[in-house]
Amino acid sequence: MTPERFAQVESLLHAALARRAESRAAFLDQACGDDSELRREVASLLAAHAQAGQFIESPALEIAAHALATGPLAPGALCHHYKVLAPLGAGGMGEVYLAEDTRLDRQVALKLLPAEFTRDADHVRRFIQEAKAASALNHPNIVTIHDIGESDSGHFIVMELVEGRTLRAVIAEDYSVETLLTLGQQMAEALSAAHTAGITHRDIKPDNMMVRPDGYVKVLDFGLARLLPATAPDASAARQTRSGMVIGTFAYMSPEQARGEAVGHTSDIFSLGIVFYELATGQHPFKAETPVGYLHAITSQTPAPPAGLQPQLPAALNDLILRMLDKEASRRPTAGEVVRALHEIELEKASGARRSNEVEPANRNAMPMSASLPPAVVASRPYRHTVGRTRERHELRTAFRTAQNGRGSLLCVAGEPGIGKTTLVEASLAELRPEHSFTTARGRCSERLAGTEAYLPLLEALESLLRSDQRMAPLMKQLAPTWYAQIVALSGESEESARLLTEVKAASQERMKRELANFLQEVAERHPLVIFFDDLHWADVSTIDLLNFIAGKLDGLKVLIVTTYRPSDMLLGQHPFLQIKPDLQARGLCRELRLEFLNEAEVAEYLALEFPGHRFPAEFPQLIHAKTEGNPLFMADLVRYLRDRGVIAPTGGVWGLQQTLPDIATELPESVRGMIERKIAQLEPEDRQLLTAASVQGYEFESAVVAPVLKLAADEVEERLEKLERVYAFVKLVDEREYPDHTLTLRYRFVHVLYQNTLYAALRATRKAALSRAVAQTLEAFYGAELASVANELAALYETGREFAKSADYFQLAAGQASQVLAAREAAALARRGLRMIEMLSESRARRAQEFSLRLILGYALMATQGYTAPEVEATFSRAHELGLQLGETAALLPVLNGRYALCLTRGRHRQALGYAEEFLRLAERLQSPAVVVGHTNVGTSLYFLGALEQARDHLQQAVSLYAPALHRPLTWFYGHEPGVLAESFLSWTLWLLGYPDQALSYGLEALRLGREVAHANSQAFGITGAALTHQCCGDWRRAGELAEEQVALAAEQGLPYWLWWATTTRGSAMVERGETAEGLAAMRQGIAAIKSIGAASHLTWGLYLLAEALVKTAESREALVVLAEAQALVKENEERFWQAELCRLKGEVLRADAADAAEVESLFHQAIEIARWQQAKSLELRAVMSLARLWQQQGKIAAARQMLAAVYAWFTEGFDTADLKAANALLDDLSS
Amino acid sequence: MVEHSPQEITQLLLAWEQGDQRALDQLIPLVEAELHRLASRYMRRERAGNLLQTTALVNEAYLRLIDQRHAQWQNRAYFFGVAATLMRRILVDFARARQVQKRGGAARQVALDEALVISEERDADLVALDEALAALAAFAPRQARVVELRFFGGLSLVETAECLHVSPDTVTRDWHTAKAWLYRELDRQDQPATR
Repeated sequence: MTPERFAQVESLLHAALARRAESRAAFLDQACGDDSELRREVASLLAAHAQAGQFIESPALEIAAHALATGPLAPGALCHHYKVLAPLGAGGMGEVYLAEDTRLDRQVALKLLPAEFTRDADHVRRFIQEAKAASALNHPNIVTIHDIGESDSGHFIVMELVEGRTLRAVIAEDYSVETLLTLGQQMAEALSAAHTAGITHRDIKPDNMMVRPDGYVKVLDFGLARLLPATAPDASAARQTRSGMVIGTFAYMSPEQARGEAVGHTSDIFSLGIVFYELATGQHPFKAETPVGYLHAITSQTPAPPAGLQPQLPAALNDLILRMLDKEASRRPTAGEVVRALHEIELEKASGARRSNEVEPANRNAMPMSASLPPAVVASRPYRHTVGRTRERHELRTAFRTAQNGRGSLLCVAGEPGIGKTTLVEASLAELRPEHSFTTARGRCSERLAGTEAYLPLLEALESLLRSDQRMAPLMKQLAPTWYAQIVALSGESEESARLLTEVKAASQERMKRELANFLQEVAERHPLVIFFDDLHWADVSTIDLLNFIAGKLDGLKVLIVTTYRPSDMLLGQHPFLQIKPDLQARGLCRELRLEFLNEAEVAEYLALEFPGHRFPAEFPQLIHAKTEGNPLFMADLVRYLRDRGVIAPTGGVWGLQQTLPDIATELPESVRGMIERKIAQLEPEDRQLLTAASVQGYEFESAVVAPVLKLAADEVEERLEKLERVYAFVKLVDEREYPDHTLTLRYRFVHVLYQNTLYAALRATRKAALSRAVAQTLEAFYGAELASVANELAALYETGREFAKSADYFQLAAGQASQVLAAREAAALARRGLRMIEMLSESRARRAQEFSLRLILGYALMATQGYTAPEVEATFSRAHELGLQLGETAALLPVLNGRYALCLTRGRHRQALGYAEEFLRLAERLQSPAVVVGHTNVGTSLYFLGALEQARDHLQQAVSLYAPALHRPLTWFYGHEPGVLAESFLSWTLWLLGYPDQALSYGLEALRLGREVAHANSQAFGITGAALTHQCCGDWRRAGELAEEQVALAAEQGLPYWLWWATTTRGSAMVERGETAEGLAAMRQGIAAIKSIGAASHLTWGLYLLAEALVKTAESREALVVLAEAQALVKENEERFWQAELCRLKGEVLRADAADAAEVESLFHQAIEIARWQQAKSLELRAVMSLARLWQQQGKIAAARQMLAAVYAWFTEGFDTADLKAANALLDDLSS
Repeated sequence: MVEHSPQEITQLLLAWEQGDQRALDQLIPLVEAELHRLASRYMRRERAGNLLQTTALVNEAYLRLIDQRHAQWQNRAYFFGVAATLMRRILVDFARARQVQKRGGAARQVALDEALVISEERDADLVALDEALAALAAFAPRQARVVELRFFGGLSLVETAECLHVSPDTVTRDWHTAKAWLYRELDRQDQPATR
């Protein structure tokens, strides 16, 4: 192009640009005439102009700055104390240098991270955490990270120097089945260890694996993919690289990664599958020309079977690789399964080939890792040496194997603080890990929340399961929805959990138990499950209850439950576990391992492991043993203390003592606590303050909480904690979490609870209070709308912080939550603690309101745990009632009145019950509350018992006509019954008594239907009772018996003792009716005795009547009379009159059968008739009249008998199919003939 | 590293201006060192979330380099023009070197291990842009110079106009022309490579 021509182009370009876009084409047509080349040129520049956007708008220096700043480090350059020696290579994620650690005088690999990756501080933090966590696994196939830091040149990672070549180079040169078998197993082992620890690699590819000349594989860059953007690198993004997108490695992504979805451990398996494929065949399983092409191929292509490309590939290995490459993540094997599959394939291959010159894989693993490293380096690593405990470890392994074979058990590791319980369990599980594939779930009990946070360790364990494997969530949702709801509620996924929580409320403890058992069974079906509960001496009663239930089912489950506890704490606290243990032990389901202190030889063994090749005097182990009495924690601390002080130090590469033994002896602390105190004293004041504040949060604490409490910057706290972990071994990083307000936090725990105890105990009261308040306030701020999930903790913190009003608030919240999940004992304990806080407050309206709410929760919780008859229940409700009246008659008073009503009703004090029911109804009416339905039902029910049947019917009918499921069903959770079921059941019985059997039956069946409709066990049970009772009254014993059977099953399953005993009684009576006399009678006796024992008395006159009736049938007339007398006494005492007529009549029948004085018999029948008439109880009048008519028939007074019976019979308008009316009709016929 | 005085650098620039190629050889490492220093500062600020105006940064670099008391540098814009050429040279050389280093070695299977990292792309872009710019200069020297001054030299619109003794409107017009042309050139080069 000439300058002239270009000038022409340019002037046309700008002339066109000056016009509106739509008129440019016409303009060019006209301006260019037939110079089509000119037109094309201008048009293409116009298009380029439109697309160019930000192109070259930022100066070149800005683009180059990243490169310049992170540009190659010259030999000699320093990053902190690492001196760059030479470049080793460069990958997508940074340049790697050979460097010298000038402090430790060793060579390391230093990787400089490109600045593009480290702009997001959160990503960097996550990366650091994961990289460290992976390194901390100390796995021979995972590269060790020595240090992560930031210098002028950017972020850098310092790693173990691995000599060798990348797997990429290996694949290029010698891919083969043998290579795959030897190398692949190690890769899978590395992933298995990482996955078990909850770490996903996310960027598995041949370039991230180093193969040492001795055959070791080292997986690099764990967590590094965290630095890549989390969003989908889709095709359009890939094309936009120019505008600043950074994208990971396409060719090794899993389909879910390629789609930009969340990835789990299974994603690594897919990537590893590609690597395996390449190792076996030398070819990539997916065919594509460009990076973006790989994305497409991975999500859509099905790879050709590798055996087609590599004829020597065993079929099993071919299958394994294809399973790893399954597009569906859940169908891929786990890393552990890959390890085992490879092992089996290798064994098979070896036995088939019998070649002796091959490298034995077993030897490879046996090779000491530290062979090439100086002892000093080994000892400085955070190894945990487990010495002694051979027997215990053996026991644990045996228990595991037995569980693996389907016979699970509960293994208790008992011992005093610092004896090494947790370490033993962890080490034993780690030992099992390489050989066996199993799932672990772990939950800790908390000292602060001891006994009050329902199911705490269990929920924690289940949560850990959920997090370990994404397949768990759907399984738990399906099999254990009530548990799932509690856990997702804890993790704050609220929408669905709200729905599920409704189900939880409707559930019972029995259902929760059953669900849990089913879920665990299903989980263990795949791989044995090990559940580890740490510090069981702080467990809540509900957990122990569940543990007992699960333990009872262990024989037959592939589940091993391991617990640790301190026996002395258990004894002191009269822990409920002690009550269940002997029984479980007797049934062979539970074993207890008592950990004893270490002996001298074990101390010596420990020293030898810690300081390989040491030259300590022979008496040194003896001294350590004498000082520590073999307490492992004390011993380990003491040794560390000596090393930190330079008493144990290397001379010329050999560990030795720098002081004489007597000098050492005088200098040593006397106890574990003394040791810990000294360690604390050695710390810088800032570190000490930090740990003290942390101890206030608890054994586990969080960086984001401690920082604001001490008014320090988050990163400073994190740095200090990191140092306290690495240098002083005071704390241990647990994990990283996110608060509901999205603050990130690192969760730490003290290396041992004694550290926390010691720091906390040293706090002065005022400081303790101030810190507790500060911690509580910080947590409040983080949890925002989800305070409920930490209510318990906040309550305890404010309690210590002496902010009693707030503490009471949170106790109330926590207690309310506990009662929602049916943890009544915990709810009661929390409410009691809240009430103690109230006592500290000065009298005020607010105080009374708080007390009122707490009493209410306590009252209902106590009703559930102690039964209705406990004096405390009544006292609690009575106080709540008093407070409620003082506070003004509000809706809050309704549950109190209902509580008092229910209490009286159950205990049979019907007159009093009526009083509360009427008060309730009046209040509900005034408030225009939907609870009016409940009020009418309650008044009607009391009246029914009192025998005022017509009034009862009016109220009950009103309740039934007002009842609308949408409006009233929610009241179920407040009042314990579905209002419709209750109203219709009582209306059914009342109508039957009043002489309307058909209507009674239809309401009874409606109650049954409603009860089945709601997922509420109590209401369901009530509905069944309603129908059964009516059937029985109508004389349909068969149907009544069937319903009773159903009721027994339901009540047993749901753990409803009250209903169980009633159902047992009615079932017994049905059995007697069909001739199973002895069994039926026994069942009835058992049922009634049990009802009486739980202090329930309503309907008891009727229950006793059934028993007496059965006794009459077995000719036990004397006993029948005793029973009837008891029932009569109850009538007087409780004014339970609805069945009074029948009691008289039956007594008359008994006496008549015994040929007693006819006058007495007749007077009893007359009495019955009179009572029935007075109550308008036509059905009972009919029965009494029939009895009298039969007596008169015997006496020859036929006409009088017929006249009397005909009069009553004529009254009836319905129910002519029922037994009583049919009998009456037959008798009338008889009398007429 | 020996500190070089602004006077010394100014002398070298003058000498280069007057055709002394040895002066350039001495200049390059000095300016490069200064750029490294600036770049790390830039990155530190960026990591701290504190983005710095690049133009200000470049200006600061220039001002540090020159001896402001020197009479001939009273015309700041003129000096900037010289410095921009130098910057282009240094930045492009640097990018080219990195590209060679990264892509070098036949063992690397680029297609398979394609961690598409932006810095690499940008290095490639700088080299390609430099070549396209040279092509443009053959028939549109002023337009190419505008790009050199603004993009490589980091000069503002007004500074560029001052340096070229034209109106800011002309600079804007040239800039749009050159940008469209360069974008089209680079886009054409891209076609066979990635599509």
